[in-house]
Amino acid sequence: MVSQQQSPRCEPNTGKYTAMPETPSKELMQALLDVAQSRDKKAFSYLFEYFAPKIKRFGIKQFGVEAQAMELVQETLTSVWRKAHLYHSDKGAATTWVYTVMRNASFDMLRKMKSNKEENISEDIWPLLNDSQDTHHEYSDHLEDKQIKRYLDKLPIAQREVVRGVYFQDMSQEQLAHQLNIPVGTVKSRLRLALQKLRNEMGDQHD
Amino acid sequence: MKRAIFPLPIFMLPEGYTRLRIFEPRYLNMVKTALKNNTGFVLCTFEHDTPFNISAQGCLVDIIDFDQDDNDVLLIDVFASQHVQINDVYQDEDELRHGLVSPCNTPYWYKDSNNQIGEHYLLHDALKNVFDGNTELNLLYKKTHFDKLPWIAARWLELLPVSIEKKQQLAFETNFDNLLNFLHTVINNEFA
Repeated sequence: MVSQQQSPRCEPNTGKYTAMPETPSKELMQALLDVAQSRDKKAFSYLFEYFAPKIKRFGIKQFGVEAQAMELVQETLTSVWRKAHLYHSDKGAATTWVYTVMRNASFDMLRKMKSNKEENISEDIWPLLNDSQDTHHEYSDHLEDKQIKRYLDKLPIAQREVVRGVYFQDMSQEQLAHQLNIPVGTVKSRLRLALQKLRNEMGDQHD
Repeated sequence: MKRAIFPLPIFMLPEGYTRLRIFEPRYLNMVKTALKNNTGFVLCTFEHDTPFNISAQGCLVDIIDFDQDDNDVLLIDVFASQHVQINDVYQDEDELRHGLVSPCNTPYWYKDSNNQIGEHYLLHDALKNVFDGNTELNLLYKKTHFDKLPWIAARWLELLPVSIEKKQQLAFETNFDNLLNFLHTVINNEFA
């Protein structure tokens, strides 16, 4: 099973035979640090050889399509090359860090695919920033600017009274969180869940 | 009947209130005419891909109060008396839109007296808290109907931070149970 042409970095350091090759943690960490510090291409190709097949396997499981799995390999490893300087050995194993990068890349891809296919959930909830730029002038001042309202809760009370407008349209997520006495993150996940359930109830005819 | 139409990125259901700031000449005229003839006007959702940005339905609103802000801009409080269908939209020389409006019974669950609060008291309690905690909202609402489940659901739908499109879907394209489920998930974290 063990390849004959292993890179020297990959040599198991125990010398003992194991059915599963041990993770060459030390070597991987060193390679990642070399990429970070000196843009070491040899170190990167070592990382590439080690991680590419694993990411590909994960990608196939995730997307079910090889082309997308390969895209994930590319996305992940490009990020690793670009962001290697953000890795520090005290953050933990190189594998953990690379797999985190991979997971994020995979979420990004899923999100992109989703927004092509149907509406993006986050846009369902936060439509205001992207929406309506072109027609903004048409109504912006008739309604108290919602974005201002969204920042209101972050202001000290005295300032809030000054900014607080005349107008009450809908609540920000922060306001709702405050009302329900739960964290904003919980509001977000409940909204996401509720929208997902709604989508399931209604089938796909609206996407 | 013919009514002036004011499209805004806003979601309103019958018996809802909102406050608007009026400064454009065309809308000042609209308010003047509406007050003079006691006709109200139509508040509808601003659409990006329809003629004159008008949505198919809107709310006929009555002006119930007015004031001015610190910059002497006119403020009006409006009350949505009825949901209406909007047809034959045109724009006059002042760029004010008008249309033929006819009452419609949507959302259909709104007038259904079978919709009792009962097990949904948590929606009632949480909304009551929101009103109690927001002086502006409390002052804006001259009349509340905390004893009516559809009224409670409608207010929640107006208030929740989801897109107008989703609100419309929840109000008009799904049944009342789905809407209640949605509200319970967000408000009470019920994974029913």
